[in-house]
Amino acid sequence: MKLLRLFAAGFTRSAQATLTFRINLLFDIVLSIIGVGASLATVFIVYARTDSLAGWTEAETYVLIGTFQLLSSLKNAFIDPNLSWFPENGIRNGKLDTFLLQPAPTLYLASLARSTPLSLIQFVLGLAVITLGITKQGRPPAPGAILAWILTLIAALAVTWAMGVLLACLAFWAPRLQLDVFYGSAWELARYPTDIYRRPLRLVLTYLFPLTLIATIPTSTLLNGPRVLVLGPAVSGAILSCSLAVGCWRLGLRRYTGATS
Amino acid sequence: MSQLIALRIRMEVLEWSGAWWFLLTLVVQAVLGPLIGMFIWSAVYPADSYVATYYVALLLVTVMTESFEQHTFSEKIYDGTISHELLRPQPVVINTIGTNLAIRIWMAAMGIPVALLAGFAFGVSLTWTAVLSAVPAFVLGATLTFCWTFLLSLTAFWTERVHSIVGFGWTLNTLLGGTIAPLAFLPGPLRDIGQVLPFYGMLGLPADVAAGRVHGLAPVLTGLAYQAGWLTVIITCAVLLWRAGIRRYTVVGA
Amino acid sequence: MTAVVVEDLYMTYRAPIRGSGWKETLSSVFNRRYREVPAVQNVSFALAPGEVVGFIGPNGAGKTTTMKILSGLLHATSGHVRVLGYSPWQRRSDFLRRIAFIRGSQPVGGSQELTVLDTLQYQRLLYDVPPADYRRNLDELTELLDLKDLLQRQLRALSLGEKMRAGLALSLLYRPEVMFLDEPTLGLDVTGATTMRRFVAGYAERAGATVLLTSHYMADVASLCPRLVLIDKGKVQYDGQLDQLAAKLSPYKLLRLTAPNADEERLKEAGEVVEASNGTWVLRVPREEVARTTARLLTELEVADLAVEEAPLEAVIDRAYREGVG
Repeated sequence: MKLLRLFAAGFTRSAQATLTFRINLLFDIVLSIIGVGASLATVFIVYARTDSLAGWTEAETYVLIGTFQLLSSLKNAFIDPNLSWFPENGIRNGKLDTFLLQPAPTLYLASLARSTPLSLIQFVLGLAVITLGITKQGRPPAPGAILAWILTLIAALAVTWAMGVLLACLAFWAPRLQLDVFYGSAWELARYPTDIYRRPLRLVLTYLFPLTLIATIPTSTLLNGPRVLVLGPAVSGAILSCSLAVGCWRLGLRRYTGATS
Repeated sequence: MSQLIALRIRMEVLEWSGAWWFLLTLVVQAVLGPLIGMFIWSAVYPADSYVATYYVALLLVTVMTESFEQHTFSEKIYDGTISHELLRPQPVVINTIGTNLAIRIWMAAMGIPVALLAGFAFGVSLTWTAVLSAVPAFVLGATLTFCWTFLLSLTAFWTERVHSIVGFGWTLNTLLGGTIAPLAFLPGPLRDIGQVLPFYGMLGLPADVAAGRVHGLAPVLTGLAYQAGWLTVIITCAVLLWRAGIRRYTVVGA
Repeated sequence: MTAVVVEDLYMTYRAPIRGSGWKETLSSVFNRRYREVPAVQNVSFALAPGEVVGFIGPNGAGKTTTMKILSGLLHATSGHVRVLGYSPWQRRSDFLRRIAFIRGSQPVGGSQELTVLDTLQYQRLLYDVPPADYRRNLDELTELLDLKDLLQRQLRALSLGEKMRAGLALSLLYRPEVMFLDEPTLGLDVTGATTMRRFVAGYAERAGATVLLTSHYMADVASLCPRLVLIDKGKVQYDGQLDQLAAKLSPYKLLRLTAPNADEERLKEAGEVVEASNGTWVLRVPREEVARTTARLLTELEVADLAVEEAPLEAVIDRAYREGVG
């Protein structure tokens, strides 16, 4: 309860701070629109040449792009402002020390307490793109499919958070390793159906570094209806990765405070 | 002047050698766009060997012409350290050029193995003659990229959002420069516009020539002429913007 | 009842040994060797509630490490530590709500984009400060730290002195009973440092808070702390009253005399000449000989002015750092 109140307080303050800088706000809105426009343009260009990209139709790909926008927006708004550049900001500049001394769970303070509400513009744009795709396809999804889609989105968000925490945990053992950028770059691979990648890479993206879950799985769930064989592993994978993240974080903190020796 | 630049490059190359991990992250970011393009278009045209060859060439061009003036130059305006450089008896742009080339040297050193790997994985064969004939277009394109990024970075004199502005320039570049799709794959009208705009000259043209896609001398010369034309325009704009910016900087103060 | 108890505290860091060449680097990946670096060795002391104690020592003596252990950031290798009856390393919420650890090098953590007032309100939620207390404490802090003009400004736009004031307000909003201040006047100008000192002294007195303070500025220590704990190379070298340390360390006093016609050779017989300018001399004289030397000088020379002074604290401490407490 207290965490929710803290979260709401942090979010409102950031939102207010954002609204005070009107020009920057306008700028970011325009840029978000351009960004989405560029994504759509890519899809348009590809489908001017072909009807099917690795088995995906144009309408389906629009839904995929929209879903990717949704998750990117949530990642940018709630996860990145906390965990990005953790070795630098968290450990070397001593922010983690501040968190450790505050009377709330350190993992919450380090990974979720701050947010950039402005990034939620992308969320709205993503919804618009999904609507566009579904209209183009002309076949509205069943309520069950929508529920399953939301479930997969939550699972994807949980996995995204867990991967961010796991990356941050690396800093406890190797503070010079800065893998953030690689994560950000790899994230971009999820923008298109993971079916376009060749076999070894595709397997890695499905099982080891589950970017397939970010957009490809939710989209096919929304369009083709829920499948237990997909939903089950997605949800259990999310639970597993979150527990792994929490466990590694605890180990890391113990190392950080010197409790191991 | 060229001596000053050479000296600066030497210094910067040494200075950046400590930041190899950071440079590697830059290479990964640079390589990503071409690689995704390669995957997409290989899925569309699995049999066409041109796609992979073009994208490997594009990957090389991208890595070797990356420009980060929004960091190396604009940040100096934001934190005020540009004042030191204004006091030195040499044009400020010399340091910026030196840093730019030093980073490119490092990125080329790290990017070429990636290109070789990608080329090997996709069975690409670049011919030496084609690569050599792309050198003029590459040199002009590299200069064009620098001048364009520098031009955008100069807006730091007026706005705090230079990173967004350069990001916008980057979006135009991937869209019309040949990263998202080779220019030849763009729908008719968009292709015609792309041919005329400067972005194709920065990335796609050198890559197309190196991939052996441009046949005959005439289209190469047309491309070079466009590059030279845009270079003149952009340099003129940059000089004007620089003068106005410096006037503003010295009046408003840091 | 004691507020802070430290008994036989040891803290040893393990630092990996890394070779210089490629070969050694590679072999260290598989077969890591560690070097034990003792940061704190066998440190014991206790602070009574309401006591303000200076914790001094040269750079790398183990002050910050000890403070990190006391506030719960580090887990000691061995030894017994109790702060307000808690084991700090467990970092229990009710413990954290009663202590504050303020570092002059990082006066305010957290998001730099928010305003001071926003951050204070967030702090209120975080530390569960009741609304009535919050308003009262905030008014008081605003008054004492002169925060009125700072409240609406972003943290990152504050100057160092302003940041320190904001940092103090953030920490004192929840009225901690124990405060660890690590170099609180670092980088502050004379006015800032004085405000800071006056405020800390006032707060300690009003709230009855226990304060442990490190500083390289002896003025901080001299004006705030009747008691000193001096630590060097991880060990406590002295624990006691400030003036006794001075007497113990400095068996000399300084004689400052103005004698325009004095002959330097004659003065050298009386004591070591530390300073000489325009007929004013400063002599270093053993404590027990001060009276005799003064009398002799007054009879033998034409003295316009004479004063007996203690050696400055800075010099005393410097001696303690270099030569140890005998």
